[in-house]
Amino acid sequence: MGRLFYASDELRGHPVFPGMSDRTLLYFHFRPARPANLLVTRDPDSAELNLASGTYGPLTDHPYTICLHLHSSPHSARNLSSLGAECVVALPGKDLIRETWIPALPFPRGIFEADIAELTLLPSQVVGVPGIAECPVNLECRVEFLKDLYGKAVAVFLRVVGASIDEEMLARDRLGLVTQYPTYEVDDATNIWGGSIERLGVNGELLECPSFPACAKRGFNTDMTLWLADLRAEGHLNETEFARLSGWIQEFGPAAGARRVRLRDLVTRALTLAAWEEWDSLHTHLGSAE
Amino acid sequence: MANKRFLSTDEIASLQGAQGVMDPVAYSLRSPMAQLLLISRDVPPGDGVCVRATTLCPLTWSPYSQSVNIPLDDERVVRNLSAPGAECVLAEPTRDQLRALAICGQRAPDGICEADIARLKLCKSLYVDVPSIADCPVNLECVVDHVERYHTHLIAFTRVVGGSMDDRYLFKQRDEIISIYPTNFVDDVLDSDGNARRRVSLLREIYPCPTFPYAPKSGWGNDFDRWMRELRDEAYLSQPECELLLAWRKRWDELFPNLDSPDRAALKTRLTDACRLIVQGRWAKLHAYLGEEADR
Repeated sequence: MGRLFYASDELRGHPVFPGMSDRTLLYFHFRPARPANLLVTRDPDSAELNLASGTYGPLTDHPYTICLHLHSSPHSARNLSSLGAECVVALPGKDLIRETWIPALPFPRGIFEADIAELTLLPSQVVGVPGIAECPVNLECRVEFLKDLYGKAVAVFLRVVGASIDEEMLARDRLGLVTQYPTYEVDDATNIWGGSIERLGVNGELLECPSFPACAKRGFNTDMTLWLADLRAEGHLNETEFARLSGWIQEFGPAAGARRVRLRDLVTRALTLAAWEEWDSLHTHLGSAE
Repeated sequence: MANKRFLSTDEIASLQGAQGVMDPVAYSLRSPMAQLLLISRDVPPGDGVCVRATTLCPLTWSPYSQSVNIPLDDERVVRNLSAPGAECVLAEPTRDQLRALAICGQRAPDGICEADIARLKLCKSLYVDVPSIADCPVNLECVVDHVERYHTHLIAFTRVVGGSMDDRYLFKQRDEIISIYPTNFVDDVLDSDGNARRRVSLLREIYPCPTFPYAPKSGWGNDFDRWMRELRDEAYLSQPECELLLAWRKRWDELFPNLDSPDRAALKTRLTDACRLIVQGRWAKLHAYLGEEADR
C-alpha cells in the first residue's frame, strides 16, 4: 500500500495513472458526491421564473440554513444577488433524473426550464417563488449572506423559512426515504464526442455508528469529559478510576516537558481503551500506570 | 400530485428534538451529506493535532474549494481555523471506520489527539503542515481562505492545494468506490437504551443523465447556438430549421426587455415548445412544428 500525492493543479488537469484510460476516474476520487437540487428563482428585471440545477450543502441546523454555490454568470446568481431575495431549493428524487438535468442546459434567459422539463409548479406558503411539485421536499428560502468566490462564483447563504414534504415520505422509514431522494452529483462519464455525461446517484445503504459506551450517550459534538461521566454512571469506570483519569486530564492541561508527554500517553491510552471497550485493559491501565 | 405537508418558519424551528437528536422530520428536510474527518493543528501554545467529524459544503471546482462548518462552542477548532494562514486536511473515512468516526465526533481535552484514540494513523501531508490520516483512502490538503461567523457556526472557506489517495483504490470503478466511501451523515436517533446513535449512508445506484442530442455534445456549459449547430451537423435539424431557431434566439434577446410585447410572449412560447421537443427527442414533431412556424 502506498499513497499518491497530487497538487491541486494536477487534479484539475484530470491526471491519469499508467494503464488508466478514463480521465475522470482518478479526478473524481477527490470529489465526494454532493446532493443535487433544483433552484427556483425570479428574475428581478422581468419577474420571470428561472429553474437551475446544482448542488448545495448544509450550514446550520438552528436556524436551518444551507449554502448554494453559483457561478457568477448564470441567471440564478443574478436573481439572488441581493440580501432578502427569495428562492426555493427543491430536492429531486431518483425518478427525476432527466428533469434534474434539463435545467442545466443552455436555454436563453427568460425561457423557463420547468416548462421545458414539464415540471409542475407548487405554490409556496412563505416566499413569493414557487417550488416544484414533483420534488418530495421543497425548501423556501431567503438570502442572508453573499460571499464572492475567487471572482468566479458566489456562495449564497440561505435561511430556510418554510418547507414542504410529500406526506408519503413521512410514512417511510429512513432507508426507504434516502433511497428515494435526494440524488447526488457523483461524477461525469465521457461521451463519444469527449463531452460529459453527468451521473447522478442515490443512497442505497444505511449504517449505524457505535453508540455508548464507544462515545457519550449524547453522541456527536460532545466533550469527552461528558463521556467519562457517562462511563462512571454506567459502571464502566469506578469512582477511583474516574478520579484518577480526571486527575490526569486536569494535570495535563498546564503540564510541560517530559511530564506533559507522559500524561498525554496515559490519558490517550485510557481514552483509547474505553473507546474500543477493552475494559480489562482499561482497569489494569488505570490501576497500575502511576 | 402527492399530498404535501407544509411547515412554517416556526414549525421548522420547533423540530429540535432532545438529547442532541432532532425530530425525524427535520432530517427528512435535509440531504445526507459527506461526513469527513477534519484535521487541524493546535495554535501555539497548543501542541496537538485535533480531529473532528464534520460535513462539507461544495463551493468551486476551479480553484477546488469547499466550506466546513464548526460549532462556535468548539473553541479548539474555531481557534485553529481562525488563525492567520490556517491549514487543515479533510479525510474521507470508509464504511469500516464508523467507530473511529464516532470517536472523532467527540472533543478530546486540548492537546490530546482524537485520531490516536480512534487508532487512526497520522501521516505527513505534502502540501500543508497538518498531517493526513493514512487509514483514509483520500485526504484533501487545504488552506483556509476565509472564515465567517454565521449563527451557531464558524464557516471556514477552504481551498484544496493538494491531495493524496491510497493506491489500493486507484483503479476501482465508481460504483464500487461509492459503496466504500465517503459515508454520508443521515441522522441521529435514540437507540433502545436512550443513547444517541449516528447513522450514515452510502450511495449505491448511479444513473446517467441524457447526452447529445438531448444536450450539447460537451455536456453542459455550452451555449444554445452551438448546440443547435451540433444538431444540424448531425442531421437532427435541417439547415433552415437551425437558422430558424438561431433567428428566434437572436430575436428573443432583442425582445427580452420589452416585457409587455405580444411578440415576446409568442416567441417565448415558440422557443419553449421547440426546446421541449428537442429534449424529448420528438424529432418528427419538431420538424412539423418548425415547418408550421416557418410558414407563418
